[in-house]
Amino acid sequence: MNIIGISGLDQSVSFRRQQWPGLDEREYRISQGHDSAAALVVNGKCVYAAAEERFSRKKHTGDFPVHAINYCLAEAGLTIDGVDEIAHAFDYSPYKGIFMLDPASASQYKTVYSREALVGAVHQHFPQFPAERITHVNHHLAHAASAYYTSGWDECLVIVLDGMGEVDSVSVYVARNGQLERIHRIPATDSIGILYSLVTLHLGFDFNADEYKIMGLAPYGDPSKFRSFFERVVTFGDNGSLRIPILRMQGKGEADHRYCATRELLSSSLIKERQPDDEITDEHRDIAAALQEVLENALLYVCGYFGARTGLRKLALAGGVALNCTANGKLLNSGHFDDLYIQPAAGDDGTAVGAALHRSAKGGHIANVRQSVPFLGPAYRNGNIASALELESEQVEVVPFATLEETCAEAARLIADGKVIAWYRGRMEFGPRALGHRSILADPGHPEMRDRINAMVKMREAFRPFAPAVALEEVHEWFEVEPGTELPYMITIVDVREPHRAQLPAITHVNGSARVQTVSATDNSDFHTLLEAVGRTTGRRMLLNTSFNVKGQPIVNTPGEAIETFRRTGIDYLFLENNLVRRKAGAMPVCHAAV
Amino acid sequence: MSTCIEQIQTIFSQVLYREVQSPQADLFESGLLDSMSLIELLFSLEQQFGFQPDISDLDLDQFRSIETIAHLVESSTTRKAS
Repeated sequence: MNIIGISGLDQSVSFRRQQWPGLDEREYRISQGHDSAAALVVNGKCVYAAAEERFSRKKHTGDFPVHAINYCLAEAGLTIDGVDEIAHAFDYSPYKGIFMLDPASASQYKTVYSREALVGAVHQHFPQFPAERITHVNHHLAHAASAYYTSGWDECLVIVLDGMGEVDSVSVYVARNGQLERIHRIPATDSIGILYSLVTLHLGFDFNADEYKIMGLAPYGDPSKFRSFFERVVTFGDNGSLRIPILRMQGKGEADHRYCATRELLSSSLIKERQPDDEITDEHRDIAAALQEVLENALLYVCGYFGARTGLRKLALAGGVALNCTANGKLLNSGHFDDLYIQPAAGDDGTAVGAALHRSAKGGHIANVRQSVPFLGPAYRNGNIASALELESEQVEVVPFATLEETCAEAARLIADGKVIAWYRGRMEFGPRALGHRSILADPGHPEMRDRINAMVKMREAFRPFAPAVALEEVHEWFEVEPGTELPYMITIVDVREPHRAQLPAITHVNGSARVQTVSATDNSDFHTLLEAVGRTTGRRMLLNTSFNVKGQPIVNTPGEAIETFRRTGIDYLFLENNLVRRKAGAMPVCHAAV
Repeated sequence: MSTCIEQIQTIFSQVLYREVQSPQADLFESGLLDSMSLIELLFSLEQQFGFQPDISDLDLDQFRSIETIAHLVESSTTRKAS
């Protein structure tokens, strides 16, 4: 059985633009249905998946994922006729009548949320695909399925936390014998995810995109300064619920969903709204710290409550809030659970996988094998690479290596020499993290490396930390975890062992923590081979690993994009599979920052 | 013990943060009940009264006033009890 799962809501942002022209550009992101993606599930196992942004180059796009679908089909040798279902990770149909209540929501339903809108989008690109084979999966159920059916567990607690699905912000499921039973929900009007996103916006960043930057800013602040505010605005019910009344301040309702009254309260109680180019002050850092603290407390409360109520000791998490690695680290160490699995594509892109897995499970086909490192995207081998290099032959020169081992030896030598390399090989990762196939790599022990990469390579905010990839065999030597602790998705924060913090300045955050990725020889063999080589040249089988892109750009997809991004930045060398690419003498980086 | 009407009025003021002047006030015309607040109202009615209608088959007219909502809830819970 071949099922394509898709995420995103085509027309969501364009509807807002048309309906409410003249909003601040960042306010158009206060909308549903970003991060469209497609995933192909064959006989219950996800075999290919990719986010549409990687093809269209529009970061976080919610456009219909036609390119991602075509990638999945081509890779599997299928045409659309060979697809049994297209499953969409939203189902607004139960709420159709309710949305008809007011003209604005009725229009939005018709244009964005309706089945007719989805079928129309499918038929625009695949006109022959039978409408009866287009199905819908409740958004949180899709998230839950993306976690449960890739956990490898028969029985566990599954908790989904995000801004909102159709109408909910948290859903709690008991997963058992291949079935997901929802036992609790928290409505969108008490959404800890929306609160976090609104404060993110208020601090001058992008709603539903930059929350992880606030998470990175938080350790620089003092949560006690604004703790009392957040303790007042977020209260915990006695049944596992959260109450966030300030999200309902919009009185008679607000057709354009900008949360104006809530944001005015943030201005009067916290700080006036920061514009993106304004300086970040200690107050902003303190607010970020207090916000992060309340999110952590909320996550621990909800998860701990239902862990105790159900007696289940394994927890699977999904939903955008599960991308908060710091909170995940607190959960890991909380003692509430014996085992924690977080879907690596915990955001809305992952619902494409979940929708397809859910429908596959309904049809009796589900593999439920623990998700290996999600290398589910396109690979571009020698022919494509040669063509891309040929186009740039006046600017770059190529040194081919015969084997992976030789390639790694040279890369490790350059890394030990303080160079920043881009490392591009194999299938692209699915989900927000680069895990060794589309990465920028450097020595984590180099004292200036963090500032250098932030300024000259990623061209992003200086406070942003970088993350380490470390060979699984030695993770416990550097980080405060037990030997053999597997954290392959770079989605959990742990502490760097204190004696090593000074030696690892590029990946140790200001509070001594790191968002570690463990790399195993079985699941991530090429990257493990590189780490072995780096161990021989630096004494540590560890690398600073950040995604191969610059600020505002999706992670690179094609070899051509890799070469262009390499040329635009202060990256020293590019490895395209077993080819070392370097600038020709006299060729300057085409970059925005001075070297 | 407060009546059903009074309990629903409390839901409006303390959960939805909407002050409704009278149980007969038209909630739709006055803008006091829109799509998202109706969804939250349904959630609160479920929690408070065990009221679980089929949301895909709602007669929205029955939600036009607090009085009509109370009538709906009471007749539903009476049906359940019998």
